[in-house]
Amino acid sequence: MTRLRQHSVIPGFGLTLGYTLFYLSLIVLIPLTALAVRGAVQPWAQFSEAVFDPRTLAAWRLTFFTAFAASAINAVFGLIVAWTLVRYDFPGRRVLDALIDVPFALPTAVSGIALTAIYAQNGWMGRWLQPFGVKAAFSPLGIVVALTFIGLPFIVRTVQPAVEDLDPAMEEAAVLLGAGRLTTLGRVVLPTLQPALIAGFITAFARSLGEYGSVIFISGNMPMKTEIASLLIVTKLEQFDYAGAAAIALLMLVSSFVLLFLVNVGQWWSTRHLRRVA
Amino acid sequence: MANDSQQRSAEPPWLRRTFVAASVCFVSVLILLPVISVFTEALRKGFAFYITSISDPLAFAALKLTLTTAAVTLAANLVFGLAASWLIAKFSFRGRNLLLSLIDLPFAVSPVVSGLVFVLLFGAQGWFGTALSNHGVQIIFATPGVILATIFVTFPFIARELIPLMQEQGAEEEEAAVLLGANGWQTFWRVTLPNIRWALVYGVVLANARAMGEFGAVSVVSGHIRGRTNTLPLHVEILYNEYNFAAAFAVASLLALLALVTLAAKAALEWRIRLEQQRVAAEQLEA
Amino acid sequence: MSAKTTIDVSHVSKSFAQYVALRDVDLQVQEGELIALLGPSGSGKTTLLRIIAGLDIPDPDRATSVIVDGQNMLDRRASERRVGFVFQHYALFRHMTVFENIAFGLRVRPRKQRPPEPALRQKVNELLELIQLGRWAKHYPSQLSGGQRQRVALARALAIEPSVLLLDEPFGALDAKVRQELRRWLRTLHAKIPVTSVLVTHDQEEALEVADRIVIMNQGRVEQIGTPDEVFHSPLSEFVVTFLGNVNLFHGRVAGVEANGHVPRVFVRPHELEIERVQSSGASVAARILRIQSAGPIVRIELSSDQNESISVELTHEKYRDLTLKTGDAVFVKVREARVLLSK
Repeated sequence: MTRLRQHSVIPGFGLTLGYTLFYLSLIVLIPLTALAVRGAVQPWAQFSEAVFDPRTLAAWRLTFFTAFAASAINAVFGLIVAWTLVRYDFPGRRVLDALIDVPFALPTAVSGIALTAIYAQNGWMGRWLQPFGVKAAFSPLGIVVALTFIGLPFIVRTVQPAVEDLDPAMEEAAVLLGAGRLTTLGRVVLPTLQPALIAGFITAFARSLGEYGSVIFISGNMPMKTEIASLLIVTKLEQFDYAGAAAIALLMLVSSFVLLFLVNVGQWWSTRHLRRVA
Repeated sequence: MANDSQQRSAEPPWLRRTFVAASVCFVSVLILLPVISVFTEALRKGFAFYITSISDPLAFAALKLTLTTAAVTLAANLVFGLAASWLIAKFSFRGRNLLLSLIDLPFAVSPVVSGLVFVLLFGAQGWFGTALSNHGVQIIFATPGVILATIFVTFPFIARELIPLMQEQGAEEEEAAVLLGANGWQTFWRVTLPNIRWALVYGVVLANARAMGEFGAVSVVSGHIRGRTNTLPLHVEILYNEYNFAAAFAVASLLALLALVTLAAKAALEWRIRLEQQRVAAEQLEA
Repeated sequence: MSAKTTIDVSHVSKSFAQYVALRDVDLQVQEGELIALLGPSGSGKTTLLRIIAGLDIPDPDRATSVIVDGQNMLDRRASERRVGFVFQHYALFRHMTVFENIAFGLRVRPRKQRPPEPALRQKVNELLELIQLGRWAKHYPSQLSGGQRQRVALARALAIEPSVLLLDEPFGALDAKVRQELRRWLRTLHAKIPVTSVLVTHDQEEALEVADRIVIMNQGRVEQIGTPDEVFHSPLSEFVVTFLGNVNLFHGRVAGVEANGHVPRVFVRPHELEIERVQSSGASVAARILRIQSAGPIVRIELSSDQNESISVELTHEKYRDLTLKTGDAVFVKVREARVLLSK
């Protein structure tokens, strides 16, 4: 006999359940439903016009590739940073560790204008790139830089615990079996860190897809060239094209959900894999 | 935490040095540089200009709105966080896992979309748009809209900090309290709250940073009406778009300072919480 | 004639999703008694205790009733039951001092029933003296040892002057030595404050030492209820005799017993056997000594009979020395006392 809930002497079930459901519906469920309905319940022609319009497609492509590039860069450097923070001691390690959280804490508008100032033609970084003809601000490269800034903590904070949890005995066993250090790193350590790395990558990627504040200042926002998807949504709203905005937003939402679902499934799969071995 | 025991099977020194150098360079250029530049750009036109910028009446109005929004948002999400974590940690019922996933939903939503959903509900063409304007209630392009969007964006923060901790602590102390004759409120105030206070503060600190700094969602719902519906981040954007760079950075520096204070508080609390966890773990070993 | 029945449990059953914890259990506890619910894990003893406390509810049935101190518990909220409960892992309020922990039950009373502050302090201090932790009043639970914490838990439960005291394996999480000390202390405490008490334990030594009566449970049923003497020396079922203490099992070779198709099973405790060099009577079995363990208050001897049955005998050191036994000796094992149980 399965009851709906286990008996408990602790009071407050009804009250907290009611309030939680009420508040959740009011703030999250109803608004998201409005989006789903508004986005999906429209004539297909209208929907596809909004979503497959050349300008929208250009925005999608740009958003996707910049997010991917940024997350890939973060995967490499984030792994190195996480490894360094856990395994090595050096002056300033704590400061470095604290800096990782800055993109989490800093308002996106602030990081947006700061990054623009640095990567503009006469900025601290921009002026080094200029002789090479590389334009950082107001180009897709600038967007990648901004998304790298945003995404780094996601990867580092996901991989760091995994590095901390590494069993030293595993590495020692590899050495005793004759593997060189580099081989050990490549064949033993890296595969163990892979699930965390992939989870971090996907999380950073999902976040980068929807990023707005830190990108719109440095990108230049030229339609078809440096206009990201989220900006397109705002533009459509300003033109009172609610349906179009909703359509694009809905697609963005669905892709976030799919990505997060993938992360959860991946984690479940990899721990199941480990359980079998153990 | 560096492990000295790793020396046995350690990387060759050149690799180690490369990793350290790469990490330091990467993080310094990517993260440290922007933080420093906020302050240098803010002071570009001198200290006097800096003070003028941050004491400008419009900046003040923006600050007021930011603080009001944060206060209301934190209060609302605090009550929710406490209710939800009590529900999830002290009881077991069908659908609990589903509820947990639903609470995490706002994390998966992009900021712009977070603002958009409220425009779809309460905007002129929204579901409730006409009903509201008939009663003269203004949500979008007014403070209530800003607050709603901010509540949405910071929705899971406090609950997410409390739930794992309360689940770990279990319900035995509360059961003992009830058997000793305490009612629900007494149990909550005297037994539960002292056990979760640091996690609570931690969640509030994180939520506050996000609430005060939120840009995308608020930008969509606010209408950018100077002096009325501009938060500090939006004010920064306006100044920047007017090419008033030094003033924009001046206001931004306030937000940057807030971020740094948040990080310091976060580190201090994390240390505190880790101490507590170690204590609880030691108790369990002993017992 | 009868003392008041403080706890009256009838027809209580409880099933969980995977298994049945209690099958139609009845139990009566007299005022001032200290009884033990004894049994292996899964016997239902903790479930029964929790049902009396109100932490769980029995399966609904018209005949089911749980009456404590004249009140039908199934109608009352847990916070109104005035039941003292001691958890296995103490469940002390970790952010309150020892003093505040004990005072808790008094502080949360409704205004009318709350004692004034001076009276409250006095009561708590009295309890602190009783548990001999007066000096620790301002300390926190994390600063106390396991045994001290359990004493605080007891005092906390007693502070509300409960009609019954329920203890859920209270010493299970403690070291053997501390367990023994606390057992004795509990008996002394019970003599001073004779609250009707129910103790759940899986440790038979504990039950035999502490309880006035023992309720032996197995797989959700009550096997036997009796004084420690009764259950140990006059077991009514095979489970009881094998659960309590060591026992040797011989298969029905007892003359003069009506079989009636039943297979007699003969249960003899190790101290009820004697070893002799020469066979004295027919009720004596030939066996070879396998192992002698003489370190301890008594000497344990393991033998193997010629039917390859293993026999365990306990002798006093005196008798052992008189017999001068060695491993490998061929001797005879004689039954001094036994109980015969018929089973199909």
